[in-house]
This record gives sequence, structure tokens and C-alpha cells, in this order.
Amino acid sequence: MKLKKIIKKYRNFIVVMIISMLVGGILGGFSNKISNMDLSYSEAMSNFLFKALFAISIIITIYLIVNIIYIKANYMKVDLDNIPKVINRKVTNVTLLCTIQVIIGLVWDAIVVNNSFDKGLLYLIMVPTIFIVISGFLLTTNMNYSNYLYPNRKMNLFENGAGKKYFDKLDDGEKWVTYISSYTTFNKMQIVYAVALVISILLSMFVNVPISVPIIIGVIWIIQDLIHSLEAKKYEQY
Amino acid sequence: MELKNRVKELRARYNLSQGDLGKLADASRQTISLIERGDYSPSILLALKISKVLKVSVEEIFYLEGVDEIEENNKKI
Repeated sequence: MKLKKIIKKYRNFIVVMIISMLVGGILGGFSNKISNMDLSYSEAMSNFLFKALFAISIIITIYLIVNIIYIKANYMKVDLDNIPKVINRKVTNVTLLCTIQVIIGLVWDAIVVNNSFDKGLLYLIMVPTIFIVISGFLLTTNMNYSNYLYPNRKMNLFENGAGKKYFDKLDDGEKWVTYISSYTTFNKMQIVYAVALVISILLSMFVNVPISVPIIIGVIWIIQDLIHSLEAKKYEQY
Repeated sequence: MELKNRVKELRARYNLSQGDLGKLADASRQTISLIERGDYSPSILLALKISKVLKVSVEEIFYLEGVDEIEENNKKI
């Protein structure tokens, strides 16, 4: 009974340790074969990433445009006291996807610069930049519709401290949702960083992973924990 | 011990939607929905506003489940 209780209490820890042991064992056992493999990051991989990001961006942008057209066609007709769930969902989705598309565009830009700097292909940077501009425009348009639909939650994206001003306009329940979501994000990001570090270690055995990758993951992880700790300390006054 | 509420039941008495109650109590529809589901315990201010709108005391809307145990323990003291 006692053993069962202990296993239940430390289940996650035990599972992680067993997986680590297995992965370590497999890598150790096959170390000779692994060191002979050559899967290095090549020109072909860079071209593939460019095409893959282009395809993803096209799909996201088409989805965004279709949704914006739908919102534009309907937002003036809705009863502001009873906004249909479908409109609410589309406005939220468009905001999220525009942000994701901007991040994809920035990563894509970084890949282009990284791969084309010495080859004089920097004009390729225009492609991801165009997608970033389109997403920015769609986000601004979507915010205009959102401001019309939720006049008490108006937000000007270009204003200083726009996020904080928006947060101040939320009521108690909405702020509570933000706190809970932020805390869950914080906790899950701890797992994401750990997994990302392990993947970068594993990948480095097969392909040439720049040393900056694990360093950046580690630095971001530490910065996040430091910010959390310092913010929490502000409220620990006796 | 858990905070329970009768917001949904009392809201139905006045035929109010979540949005209507939210508007009258100066809260969002989402907040009213969170309170009804028991996911979120409202602030004293919001509880008082809701009680004003629904024309009953706060204790009639919000109550603690398992409060009998506390009362019994108090008697022992």
C-alpha cells in the first residue's frame, strides 16, 4: 500500500526518469552507428523550410482573409447586447492567427538572412516581410471590428501600453481568466523548455545544431523564471 | 468546503440572460457564466451588485457547502 502511494505521488518523476534512461541507453548503445550518420543541415533543408513556411503562410493568410470578409459582412448586423458566438470566435481566432503569422514571418526572415547573407539573395527577405505586412494590416482591420463589437474593451494597438490599458478595462472575471491562463502558460512553458533542450541535445547527435540554440533556450527559461520570481516578490511585503 | 450559488436559478426568475445580468451588475457575460459554473468566486463588490439586481441578500445567492462541519466544530470549542 505504501509503495503504491509513493508510486502515485512520484508518477511523473518516475516516468521522466525511465524515459531518460531508455533514451540514454539507446543512444549509448548505438553511439557508433549514430556518429557515422550524416544528416547535416544543408542547402536542400533551407530550401525546404522556405517552401514549407511559404505554404503555411499562404494557408493561414487565405484563412484570415476569408474570416475577415465574413466578419466584415456581418459585424454591422449583429445585436451588440447579444453577439453571436460565431462572430466572437472568428474575431478571437483572427487575432491569434495574425499574431502567429507575424511570428512565422519573423522566423522566416531570420532563416532567409541566415542562409542568404553571403549569397546575395537578400531580396528573398521581401517574401516573409510581405506576409508580415499583410498580417499586420489584417490584425488592424480585425481590431477595428472588435472595437465596434466590444466598445467597452476598445484597444488601440499602436498606443503606448496598449496591453495594460486593455487589461485595466477587463472586469474581475475576465482578469481571473487572464491570471489562470497566464499561470497555466508559465507552468506548461517549463515543460516546453525542458523538452526543447532535450530535443536540441538529441538533434545535435545527428545534425549540426548551433551551440546558440541550447544557450538561447536556457537563457529564455532563466529569464522567465527570474521575471516570475521578481514579480511575486513585489507582493511579499509584511 | 465549496462556494455554491443560485445565480442561474434567480436569473431565470427575472427572465434575464447572462448578458442582461452582466450589464445590470456591471460585469461581462463571461464573468456571469464563470460564476454560474462555480469556476470563479466573485469579489464582494460584484456579489453585492448581483444581489442588488436580483433583489435578494448575498447569503441567499452565495452559500458555503459543508458549512455544517464548521458549525459543529465551533460548538465543540
